[in-house]
Amino acid sequence: MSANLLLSVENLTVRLPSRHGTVRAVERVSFAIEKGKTLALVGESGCGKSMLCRALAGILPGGAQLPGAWRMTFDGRNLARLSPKELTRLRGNEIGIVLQNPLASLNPVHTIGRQVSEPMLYHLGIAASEAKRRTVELLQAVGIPQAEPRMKCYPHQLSGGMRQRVAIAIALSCDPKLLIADEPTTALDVTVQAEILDLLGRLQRDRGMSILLVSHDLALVAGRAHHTAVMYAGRIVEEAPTPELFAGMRMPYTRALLEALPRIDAPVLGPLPAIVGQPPNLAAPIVGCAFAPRCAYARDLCREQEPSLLEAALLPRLDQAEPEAGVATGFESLPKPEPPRPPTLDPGSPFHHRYACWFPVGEEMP
Amino acid sequence: MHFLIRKSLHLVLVALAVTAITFVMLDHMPVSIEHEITGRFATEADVRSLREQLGLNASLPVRYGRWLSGALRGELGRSLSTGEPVGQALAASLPVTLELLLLAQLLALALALPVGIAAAWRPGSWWDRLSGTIGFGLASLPPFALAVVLMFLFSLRLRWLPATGFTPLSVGWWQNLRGLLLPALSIALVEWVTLMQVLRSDLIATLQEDFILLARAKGLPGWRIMFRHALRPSCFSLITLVGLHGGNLLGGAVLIENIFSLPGLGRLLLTGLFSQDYPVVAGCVLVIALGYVLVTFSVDLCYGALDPRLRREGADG
Repeated sequence: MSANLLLSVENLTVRLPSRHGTVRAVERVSFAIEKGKTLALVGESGCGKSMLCRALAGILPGGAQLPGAWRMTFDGRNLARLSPKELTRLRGNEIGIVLQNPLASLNPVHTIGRQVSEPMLYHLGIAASEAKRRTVELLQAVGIPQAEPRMKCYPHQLSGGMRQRVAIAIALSCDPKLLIADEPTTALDVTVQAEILDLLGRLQRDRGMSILLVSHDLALVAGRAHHTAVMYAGRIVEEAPTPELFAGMRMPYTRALLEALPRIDAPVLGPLPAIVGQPPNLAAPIVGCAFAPRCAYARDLCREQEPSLLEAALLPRLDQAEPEAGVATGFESLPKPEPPRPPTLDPGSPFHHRYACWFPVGEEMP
Repeated sequence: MHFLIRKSLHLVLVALAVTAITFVMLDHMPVSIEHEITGRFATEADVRSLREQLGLNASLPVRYGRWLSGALRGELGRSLSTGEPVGQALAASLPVTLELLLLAQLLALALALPVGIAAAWRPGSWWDRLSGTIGFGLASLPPFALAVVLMFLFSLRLRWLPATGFTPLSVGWWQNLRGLLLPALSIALVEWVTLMQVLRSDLIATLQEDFILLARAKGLPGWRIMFRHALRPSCFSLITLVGLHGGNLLGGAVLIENIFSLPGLGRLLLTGLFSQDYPVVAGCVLVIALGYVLVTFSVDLCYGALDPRLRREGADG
């Protein structure tokens, strides 16, 4: 495993019991984040992004289960081996999280100064005066003017953008190695969105921390993440360094996700190409590729067997799978549903283009 | 400041309304003070002269006006039956009721807070279900029935506490507390259940909030999340109920005061009612109305202390 990795997650599954059966919120997810880099996690609402974040931050809802042989390594430590107490020391201290809704994620009855300094007082054991000084610094760092008097403000006295800056200051308070930002800009105006994302980028450069940036907006994260992973129905379906991903999206879902976005630089001609259908019900078992029912390119194989997440270079190309198949006349020459055995690959390696699709976009169909 | 002025105006209006209604209602009671005092064998002349003496011949508005002008000068008149100044009677009975009320609320809170917090911590746990069941059973008992059971158990059987009687605080706090413990407990054992239930459900709702998720993400231990982050925003219904209960007890602990022979406000009011003793009843009603307004006022103040969003800035609110 590379020494450059801050976090690597292997084979993580999150199940949530509910009235309608067990929801498979996250299904066998593997990914890694390099030190000082940003990984964007993109997908529709309800695809398991938030649950994945909460699993990483250790704040899953009660009753959630992590079945299977998962493995999480954070900064060289195996999280499964840590005691609950050590995990608690990790949260808020080395792993900071910014939640989706800044309007609801601050405690309405405490001043923002108190909320920002609380993790420092608790984790770092510093004096109150020192915590106060650092709180002012933090509030200045996240771009809150008049930080010192503002410390006495309550959340309802601040605008949404300011509140999200306070939430970021809380996440940063103990100088974390990893910042998890779960849709940090969803509830904010477009202009404020860009400001907050720029702020995160600047803080990353200053502090050298890694960021897991979660969003439903593929275009928004495009210029800001080193790597991008696309999630669908609890699975990562495509992952690549961001430039590579935009150079050649292989999974039809990724492409559909990008096409469904309105572009600011082009006139909107007719309705936007929305992704037809609904995301699958995660409480019901999924057979085959989870995206198949909505996929324009889906074939029988897609509906029968789930494709694994494989590296582009390692995936047998369809036209190479049966090189001696004679004349390629059509579908009958397709390889019989015998999914290629996944070669042993380093699941933590984020440096290649990986995707889970039998018939990726952009490859010649036989 | 505006808030205070508005509240005082409110208080004056409430006091006027309740005392006026008291006079009207007492006038329609099927008892009459003059017959109470003169007794069964009095002659018509005796009764008439007593009416004259007590000033009962004047019309109702005139009598109310007389009482009101006295009350404005701080004189609540004398009891028609005993001749005791009403102010004195109130001063003697109000502390008893206030002590009972405070002790009952404290006991109820002392039960409701820990049990409610523990139940909300793990909803559906054995503790939650057990406390819910016990609470439901206790809440379905009327306080006076519980009072009899407690009296039987602690006074007659165990002989730990006196069954009846009241010792003023000036004699000794322990004596005083011993006399009040059983009556307060009979009220608290019924009342804590509703307090516990509203606290539990409010806490469960608060624990679902995003800011609790963030507190967990800060890596804070559970007790700290509960006490520093969840408890305060979950206290609104609890405080409202404590206020309402307290207000009710001012004049409403009649049964308990009677069972334990406590010379409280409720007893004074009841005796006054049965003998059509206008000044006594009006005085009691005035104190109770005053108490109610004060209680709602302090509940309002508590809201502001609990939640900065409700603090009044300026005149509106």
